[in-house]
Amino acid sequence: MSQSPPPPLLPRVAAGESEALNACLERYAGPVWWLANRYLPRRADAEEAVQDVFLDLWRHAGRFDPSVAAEKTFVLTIARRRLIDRRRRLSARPEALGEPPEQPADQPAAVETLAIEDESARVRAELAQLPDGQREVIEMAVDRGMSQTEIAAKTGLPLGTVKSHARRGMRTLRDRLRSPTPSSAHSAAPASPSPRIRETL
Amino acid sequence: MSRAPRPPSLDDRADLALFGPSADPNLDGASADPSSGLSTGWPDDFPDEFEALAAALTTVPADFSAPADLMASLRADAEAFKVDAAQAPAPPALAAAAESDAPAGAKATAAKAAGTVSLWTLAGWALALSLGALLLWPSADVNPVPTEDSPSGTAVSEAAFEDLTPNAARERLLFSDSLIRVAMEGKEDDASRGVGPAGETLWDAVEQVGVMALTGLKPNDPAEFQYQLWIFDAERDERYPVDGGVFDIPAGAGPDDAALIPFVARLPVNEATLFAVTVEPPGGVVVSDRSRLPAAGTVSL
Repeated sequence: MSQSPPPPLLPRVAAGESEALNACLERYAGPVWWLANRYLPRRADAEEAVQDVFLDLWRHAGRFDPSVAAEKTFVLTIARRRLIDRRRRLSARPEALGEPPEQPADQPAAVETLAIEDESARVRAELAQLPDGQREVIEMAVDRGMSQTEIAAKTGLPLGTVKSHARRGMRTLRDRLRSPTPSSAHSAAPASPSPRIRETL
Repeated sequence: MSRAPRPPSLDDRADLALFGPSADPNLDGASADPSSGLSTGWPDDFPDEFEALAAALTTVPADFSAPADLMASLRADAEAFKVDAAQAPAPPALAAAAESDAPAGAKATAAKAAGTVSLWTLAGWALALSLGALLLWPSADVNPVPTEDSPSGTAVSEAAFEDLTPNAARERLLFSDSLIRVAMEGKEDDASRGVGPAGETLWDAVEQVGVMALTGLKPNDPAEFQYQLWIFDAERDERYPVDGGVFDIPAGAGPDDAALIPFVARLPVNEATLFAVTVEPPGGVVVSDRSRLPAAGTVSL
């Protein structure tokens, strides 16, 4: 059963409501911190990255358009961009970026989705239907922020194969999620041009 | 005659969503081919459909919280952002977004947001009034330890730094190449309230200046006691840390209000190892007995 998302805060940030900044922290600091821990093994790097994410978020609050994506999706998109950038910069210093942690130390056992519950569950369900190679590459990129080169080194796959797995997997996911029927009809008609994913994510 | 950029391909967008932009298309991330439309980093729609997909694939635990010291730093950032946004003629980042990384489709949105400056300005005036009461400089003339080896070379930079508002001082430090960030932790003390003090100290080892951001300290009556800031130096006797001045938490400060405390080392600090706050008699002391030490933060190696 899906819950309706709370009213968005970013339009209030863009409109200059100072209280919305702190409300934004209360709502999203935990998820962004979680993601930062996944992408950046060193605590200091993760903390600085989270601060960068929120400054970026506030500065670009005016770009949030609820007709394009849900606020949580917007926040996580900003966060992933900044975390990927930082991780790539750090990767130039191997000592600063060890093996990404399998799990942050204080991770609760049960993992739930942040994005709108049933939609995110649906996306994850579709991911599970992908061929193993495609699924694993996407999971390593999304869950741990690993680069194509890192994934190639980790899996032993040629770099070109990593790229093709990632691309095919993402295109397949997009096509399936555009379809109005959930996962059961994967081999059925190709994607409809419905912008459903944009409306619901 | 310039060639119109080709729209990004689906593969470009998938790469970008999963791996981010890259300067080297042969290695990681999306193509950096200038004609691909991705050379500035991100596609026109925000987020792009593939990016939204990658975000939706992201799972986080329910009720996962950021640590208290990070939250204190974030709240301090929020305070600084409010003031900056209020003081700026136009939000610089929005302007920058409109001119640089913001794609055409986003410019209108950015411009629309820029139209909200007047509200920020109004909020900022009110905020500046409250910050004026809350964010206090440590007394410049409190307990300067007379010494012959005062850092003569830092006189100019000290004066310039002390002319800044607390928020401006913090902002300046954030862009310093010699910045050290130290998480502050609360210690058991009567001056603590709620979950206790937490925050962050920014320290510029070259300029010998810093800004401490702290939440969770009780307001004090300056006639009764004051807070005093100390800098421990690896090359000095541990019994005699360097004085950073005294400061007060005003009566109206809430437990979550972040007090920004700019400070200047009274003596040269060669290698800061720890920043601490003690509770002292009005005016501070030359040597603290450290019987009350509500907050401290150790410099990570």
